[in-house]
Amino acid sequence: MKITRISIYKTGLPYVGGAYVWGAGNAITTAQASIVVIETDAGITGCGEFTPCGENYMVAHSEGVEAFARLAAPALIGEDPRQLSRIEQLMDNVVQGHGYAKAPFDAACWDILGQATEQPVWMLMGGKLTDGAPMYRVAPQKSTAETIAELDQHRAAGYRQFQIKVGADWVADIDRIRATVPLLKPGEKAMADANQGWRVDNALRVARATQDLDYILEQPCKTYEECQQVRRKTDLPMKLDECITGLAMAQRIVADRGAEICCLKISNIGGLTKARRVRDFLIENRIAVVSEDSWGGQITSAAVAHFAASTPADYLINTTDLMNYNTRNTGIGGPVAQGGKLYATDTPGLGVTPDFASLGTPVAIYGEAQ
Amino acid sequence: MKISRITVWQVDLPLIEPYYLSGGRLKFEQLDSSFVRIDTDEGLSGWGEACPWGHTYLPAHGPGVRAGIETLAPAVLGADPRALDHLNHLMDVTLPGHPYVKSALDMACWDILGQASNQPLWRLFGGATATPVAVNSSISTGTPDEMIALIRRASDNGYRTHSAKIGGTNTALDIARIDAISAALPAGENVTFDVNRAWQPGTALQVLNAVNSRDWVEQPCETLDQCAYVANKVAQPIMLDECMHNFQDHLEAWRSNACAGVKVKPNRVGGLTKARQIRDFGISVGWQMHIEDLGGSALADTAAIHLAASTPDANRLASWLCHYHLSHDPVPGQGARNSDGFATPPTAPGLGVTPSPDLLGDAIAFYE
Repeated sequence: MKITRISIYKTGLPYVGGAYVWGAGNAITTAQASIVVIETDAGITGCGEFTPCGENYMVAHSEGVEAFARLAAPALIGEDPRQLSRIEQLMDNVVQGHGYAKAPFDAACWDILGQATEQPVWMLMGGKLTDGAPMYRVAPQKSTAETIAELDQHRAAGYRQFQIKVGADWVADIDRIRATVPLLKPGEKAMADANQGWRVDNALRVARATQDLDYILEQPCKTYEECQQVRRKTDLPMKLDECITGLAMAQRIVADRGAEICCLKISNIGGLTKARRVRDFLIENRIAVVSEDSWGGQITSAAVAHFAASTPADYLINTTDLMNYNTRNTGIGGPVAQGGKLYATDTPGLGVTPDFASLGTPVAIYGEAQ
Repeated sequence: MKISRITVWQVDLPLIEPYYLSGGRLKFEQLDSSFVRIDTDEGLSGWGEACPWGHTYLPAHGPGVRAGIETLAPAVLGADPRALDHLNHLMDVTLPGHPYVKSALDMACWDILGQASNQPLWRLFGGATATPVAVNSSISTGTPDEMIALIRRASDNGYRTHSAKIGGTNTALDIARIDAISAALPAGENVTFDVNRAWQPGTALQVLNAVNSRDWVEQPCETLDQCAYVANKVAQPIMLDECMHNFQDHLEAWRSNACAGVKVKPNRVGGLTKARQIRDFGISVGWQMHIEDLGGSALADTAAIHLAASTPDANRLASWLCHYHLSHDPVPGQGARNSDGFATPPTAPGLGVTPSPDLLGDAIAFYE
C-alpha cells in the first residue's frame, strides 16, 4: 500500500462558550484546526488533526502544519502508511522537532492501519483497558457564584472531576480554590490548573493558603524546574502538563519522581506513536496519565479517545471530549461522550471521517488522486 | 518609532559542493534562507536573515521561518523596533519556542537601533573597536587523507583554525582521523573535532581515551546529559552546540560541568538579543566561544561577526563564515568577509549590510 495524495485543510473552531480564558490573561474565541487527509492506492483514506488552543499556548502554531507539509509531503508520498515507525523515522529525518505538525500525519497513518486491518485503533494499541474514560469539566473563569452553578450542572451530567482554571491573579486564585474545592462530594476530584501562569513565590503562597484542601496542583509555573521548586515545599499532588514534550522529559520525571500525574497532550509529544511510548514508560513506572490534546474537533477527539481506551483504567486519571467545546466540526462520527465518560468507537481505524462540508477546500494538495 | 511594514523574501542558497556531517549521516546541498526588511514610520529600514542549516540539522526549517513570521507579524507591527527586549518578549508571548523564526526579526530591529543611534552593532554590543575576528574553516567528513587535504587548502586561504567534522559508528576510523589530523596540523594552527552528535556516550569515551589529541571536541553526543557524562570523564575540553536551545540549557550545562565553551549561534537561540545574553553569561563563567550563525549569506554572517568582535579576546575563539560555502551571493561585496584569515565588522551604523531588493527576486509576503 502506498500514499498517493496528501491534502491539508484548515477551519476555525469557535469556542462553544464565547471566549475561553486561560493562564495569565490569554483568551481564545476561535481555534485554528489543521486537518491532514492521506489517500492511498488501496482506496483507504485516513485523517488526522492538530488544533492549538490559540497560537501561543504551547510551542505549536497552526501555520506550522502547512510549513511542515511542504517538506514532509513529498517524502511521504509513495511510502506505506501502515509502517508507522518507518513513517515516524521519515518525518523525523525530514524535519527535526515540530512534533505538533507531525501529529496529524501520524494519526492519519494509524487510521489507515486500522482500516487496513479492520481493527479500531485502541485494539492496535494493545486493547481496551478502559471502557468509557472518565472526563473532567473545565469551570470557566467567571464569577465564583457562576462557576459553582456550572459545577452543579456538570455533576448532573455525570462528571466527577473538575478543573479550576487559575494562574492569573494569585490572590483571587486562592479564593476561587477555597470556594470551589469544599463543594465537591466524597470521591470527586478537583484540579487547579494554572497553565504555567504563576511565579514560584506566588505559587508557593497559593499552595500554603490552600494546603488543608484536597486538590491536585497542575503545572503551577512555566518550566519543569520551577514546578519542582514549588513541589519541594508543598504536599499537594502535582500534575504536569505543558512541559511534557517527549520521552526525555518523562525520563526526568521518573528519575526525580517529579509528578504524581502526567497530562499527555498527544500533539505536544509528536503524535500517537510517540505518545504511546511515553505513556507506557510512565505507567511502567507507576505514574498515572491523562489522555488529552491541546484542543480540537472530532478527529483530534477520536485519537484522544482511542489513546484513553487503551490505557489501563487504574492509571488513566481522565480525558476530555474536546469536540464538545466547539460549535463547528472537523469530522463526522468519532467518540461519544455519555454520562461523564468518553467512549472510543469500535469501528476500524479512528472511526471518524473528515467533515468536508465544514473543512471547505484544501489549502494545499500534494500528489495525485488515484 | 513604529514598525510599519515587514517584507519577506525567500532566497535559495546553493552550496558550492555537497556538505557532509556526522560521518555522512547528514548531507546538505542547498540552504533555504528568508530575508526580512522591516520598515518604520520614521523612514529607517532594517534587514534580517534567518537561514537554518538545511532542515535536518536542528528543529528549524525554511518554510517554518515564513510560517512563523505569518503568525508573528500582526503582533510586531506597531511595536518600537529599538526596544529589543520588549520586542523579544512580545514575540515569545505570541509564538512560544520557534527561536529560528525570531532571529530574522530581531536582527532587523538591531539594524534599525544601530542606524537610529548612529552606531555600528559591535559598539552597541559593548565592543571598543571593530576587532578583526579570526575565521575558521569547516572541513567536511572524509578519509583522514581527504580531510588533511581540505585543511591544507584552507590553510592556503588564510585559515588558522579548522573545524573538522568527524563521528560515526566506526570508532577505529574516528581515532584514525583524529590522530592523523593532529599529527599533520601545521604549527600554530588549531583544530576542533566536531562530532555533531554522532557518538553514543560509550563511543565517545572509547575514542577520546584512545587519542593523544587534547584539542577541543564539539557536541560528542545527542543530549546535554550525555555530553555532561562524557565531559566529566575525558581529558579534552568539550564545546557544545546543537543541544543548546535557550538560556536555561546554558545554565544547565554550566551547573553540570558539561562544557568549557559553546557555539553561540543567533538563529539557534532566537536572535542577537538572546545570543548576547548567552555570550555575556559565557564570559562570566569563563567559557570560550565560537560566535557565528547557523547559516546564511554575508548578511547573517556579518551580524554574528558584530557580536564576535565585541567579545573579549580571552573568550573568543574563531568564527565560521557560511557565505564562503555558497555559490550565490545576494549581498555582493558587502559585510564581513574573510581577508587572510580574519573578518572585520563594518563600522557603518547598524549592521552595515543593505541588500538590494533587485538581487532577491520577488518578495513573497508583505505585512503592514
